[in-house]
Amino acid sequence: MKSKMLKRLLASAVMGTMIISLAACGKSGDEKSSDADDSGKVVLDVINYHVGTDYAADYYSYLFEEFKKTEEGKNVEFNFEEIPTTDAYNQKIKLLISSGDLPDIVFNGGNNITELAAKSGKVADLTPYFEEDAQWKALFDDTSLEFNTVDGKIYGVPVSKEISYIYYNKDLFKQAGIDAPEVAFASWDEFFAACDKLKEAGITPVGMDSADSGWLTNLWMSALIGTAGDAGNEWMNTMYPTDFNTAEVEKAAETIQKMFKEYTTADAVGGKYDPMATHFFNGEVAMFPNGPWMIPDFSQEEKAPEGFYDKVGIMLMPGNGMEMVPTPGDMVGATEEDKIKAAVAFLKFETTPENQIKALEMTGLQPVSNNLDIPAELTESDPLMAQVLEIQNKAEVTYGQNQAYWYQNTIDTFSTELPELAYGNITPKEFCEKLTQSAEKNQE
Amino acid sequence: MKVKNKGFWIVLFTMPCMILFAIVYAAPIVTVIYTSLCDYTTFSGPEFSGLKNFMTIFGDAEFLTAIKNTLVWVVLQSTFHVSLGLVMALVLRRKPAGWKFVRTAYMIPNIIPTAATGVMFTLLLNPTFGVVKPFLETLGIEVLQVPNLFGNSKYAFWTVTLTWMLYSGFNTIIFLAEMGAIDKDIYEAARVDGAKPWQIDRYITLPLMRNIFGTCVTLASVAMVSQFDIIYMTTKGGPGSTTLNLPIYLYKAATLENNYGKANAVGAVQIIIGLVLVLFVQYLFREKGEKKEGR
Amino acid sequence: MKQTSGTVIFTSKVVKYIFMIFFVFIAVGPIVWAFISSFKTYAEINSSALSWPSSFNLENYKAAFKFAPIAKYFLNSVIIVGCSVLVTVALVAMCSYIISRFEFKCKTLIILLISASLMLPAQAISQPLFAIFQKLGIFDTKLGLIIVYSAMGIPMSFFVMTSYYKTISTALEESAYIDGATFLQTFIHIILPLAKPGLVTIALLQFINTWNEFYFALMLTSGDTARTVPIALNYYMGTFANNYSALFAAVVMTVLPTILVFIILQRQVMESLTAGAVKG
Repeated sequence: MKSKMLKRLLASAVMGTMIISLAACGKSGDEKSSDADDSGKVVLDVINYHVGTDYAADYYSYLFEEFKKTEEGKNVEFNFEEIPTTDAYNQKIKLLISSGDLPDIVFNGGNNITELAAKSGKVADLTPYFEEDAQWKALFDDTSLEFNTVDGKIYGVPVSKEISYIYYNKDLFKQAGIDAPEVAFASWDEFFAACDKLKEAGITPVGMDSADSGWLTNLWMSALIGTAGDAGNEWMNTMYPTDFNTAEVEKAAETIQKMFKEYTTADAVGGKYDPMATHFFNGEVAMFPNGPWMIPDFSQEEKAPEGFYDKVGIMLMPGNGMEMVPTPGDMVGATEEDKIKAAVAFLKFETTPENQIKALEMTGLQPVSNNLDIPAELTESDPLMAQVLEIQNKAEVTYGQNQAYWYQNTIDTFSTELPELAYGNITPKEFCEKLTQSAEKNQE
Repeated sequence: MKVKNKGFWIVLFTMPCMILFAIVYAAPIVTVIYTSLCDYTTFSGPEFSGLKNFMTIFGDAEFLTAIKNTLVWVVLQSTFHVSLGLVMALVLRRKPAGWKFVRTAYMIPNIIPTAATGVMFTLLLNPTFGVVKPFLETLGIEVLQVPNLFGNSKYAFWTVTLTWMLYSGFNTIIFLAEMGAIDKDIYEAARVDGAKPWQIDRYITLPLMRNIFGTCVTLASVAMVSQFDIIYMTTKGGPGSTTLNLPIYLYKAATLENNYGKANAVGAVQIIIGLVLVLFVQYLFREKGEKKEGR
Repeated sequence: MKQTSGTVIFTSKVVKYIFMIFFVFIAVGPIVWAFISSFKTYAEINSSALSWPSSFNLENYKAAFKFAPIAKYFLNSVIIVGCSVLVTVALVAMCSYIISRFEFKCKTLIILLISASLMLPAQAISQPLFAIFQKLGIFDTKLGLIIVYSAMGIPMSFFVMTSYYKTISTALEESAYIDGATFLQTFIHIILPLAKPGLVTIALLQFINTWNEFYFALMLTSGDTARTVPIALNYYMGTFANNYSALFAAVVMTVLPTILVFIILQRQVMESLTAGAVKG
């Protein structure tokens, strides 16, 4: 009995060692840093987070395939690392920024990555490439490029614009006897009058949340600030604000508190995006702020009841306001000349007018270039998208939102303090003070 | 004990362990301690700055809350949670009907990935469509507003605590193994002497569990000092700082403020708190045990 | 008199079973719930926690395979966790035996080092480890993760095992030495067999602890060769695009085989208990 036990133990120990040495041998041949293989191809390392259930997964696999068919791309091979979720992706990129090498093409997952990467000196200055190719540069407006500029140098190539507005449920509006405005409610007073009417009819007026980053609530709050006169609008268009105790922000926080208490679902506090979206799909909530990427969901039978697409209307925020921010652009982490060239070629390909339209079609991402010719088939097959393209030109004021403009930790403070605000455990003023303190931590 | 070549065997038997340790932990321990004294961010290398980071964190009310929450969880976990595992082991030891099933079932929560557990709890406790409302209704409690267990700071701390406190299968297994090692003759003798079951547990089993109880307490406290995943998946330390603990605070300093120096200062505090706890628990549980063995 | 003691036994039995049933319920509840939810649609999951799925079809299971390389990652998990369990158990069996039996100079130092490592925050370890692993050429290999996981498992297993060795009487060893047995013979022929329940226990614990590890699996790998199940689960989560149905389907598929491993390993632990069954 004892010797049997011993044999078994020894056997497993030996096996363990063997497996380990096997694993070690198996890997040593696979050198990742091989520059170009025999056929003279350029190998680009890419970390891709548009995988799995990501909204743009199909679009990006299309893009990589198509690129290899182009003149510049035919000699390029991609070496992919997949990292699902932007959260995990950003963690890895930050690790690479601080103690490793960045991939040759650095997709931008937000999180102020552009600034961190630029300051680390591990991404290429793309200004010369823009200067060299005036036609390419003309695709972008100044705001978009400025947004991707650090210390006077352009590091990121923005691939889209982010806009958001209000989706509303036409049936519920009718039920409450409200005539939905053509473009937007003229003022927040009118907006809240409509909310009261909805409430009287037993309908929850708005969708809100607080978990993760409090996305929906952030859109409401940005709108409240961004449409509050010139001062508010300027504040909401400022990168990295540090003073949240301005009249407009405090007023907005007060309104948010009221909205949590009176106009939204019980699970909004502490709630995540998905159940809130489902409330809207199920016709339990009348108004829901979000962007064009949500449109495909309306006709997905998994998510929304049949025919829901036709019930959805679109309007701007009260006072003809619309959130619009340039997106943080994709960067080049390659260090060798031929790789940098190939990576830049890919970024150019990613931003051709054709591919911007393809992205719009496949993901709902808004083109970064203004005045592109959108093919009629697209607008006909997707009337809501057509409406989005049209209504955005009617916006009189545009402003940013916290995920694009605020410090990372301040967004987090926003999300964790929202419930306290909602339950009245802190006053709107205290809420803003917390945000101020949090933003100031970045100045230490 | 008298052993030939004692020194040789000590080295040979502890070396492999220590080498593996050195590979994985040596550099990190040094790095954490050193960089906690530095200005160090995502994009700039460490530069010595003395105790600045420690002054910063100890001047931050949230950090003190994080320490307080961490310690409360340590106390709860090392008392209630560990005892629960012990009670379960005592029950299962006598092999009541279905004990095999219970034993395995009680372990299952430990192998469900945290990502899924987090989603599960947030959905199950959702105030509009979760289990809370029907549960209260079954109990006959009328409430105007269904408590929002994760969202309201009144309940959040206890809700988060409950996501792990009752799942003590880990300890049950450890205790069961230890009980298996007890000399069977002692039990037999006690039974012959007419001792009642609870007397056997009270006067024979429990005293013999002293050592392993100490171990379980050590492990439980240490696990609480570094508890992260489930908090991150459910509340991220909120509402406010109700469920903020040291690892979450550290995570936020590192990934949201990009301040590695500060994060590692928190790490250093975490290590020190952990070490003090380990030594304290070992001291608590050693005294008598050591004397009794009296080798 | 007899009557009352009968009632007492009966009540204590009832209490015992209520206790057991309650904990089985809260333990099994979640996985049963996940199983049921794995058949629900997005809308059903996000609008009611207690309803039945509208139909029991395998769509979500298909989706689980479509979105993530779950089978491959599962195999990786089995290999990596399996090896780390073997390594940890082997090393700890030796190391903690020494600690539990002998007094020597560096003993306290070793214990302190091991304790300290328990507390090291993953975020702090990842950077230096990343650099070291790249130098050693074990970045993005199964071996790399096996090394980290084995080391991670040492402290916990160490404490449990040291305590277990202390329960084993030294008398047997003493007499073996008197009979002229060497240290190694004594360890292998006398100690290890006695320590088997403890060893199986730490194997179980090590398995549980590493099976769900996410952070290092992400940071120390860059491709499919060494990635594990927890990372596969992230494929179902995306901003505005969580697919909880597929997530739960994947959870069910990966948890069920592990429960089997469990049952087998636990049988081993219990063998030793069987001998000492105490009735009543």
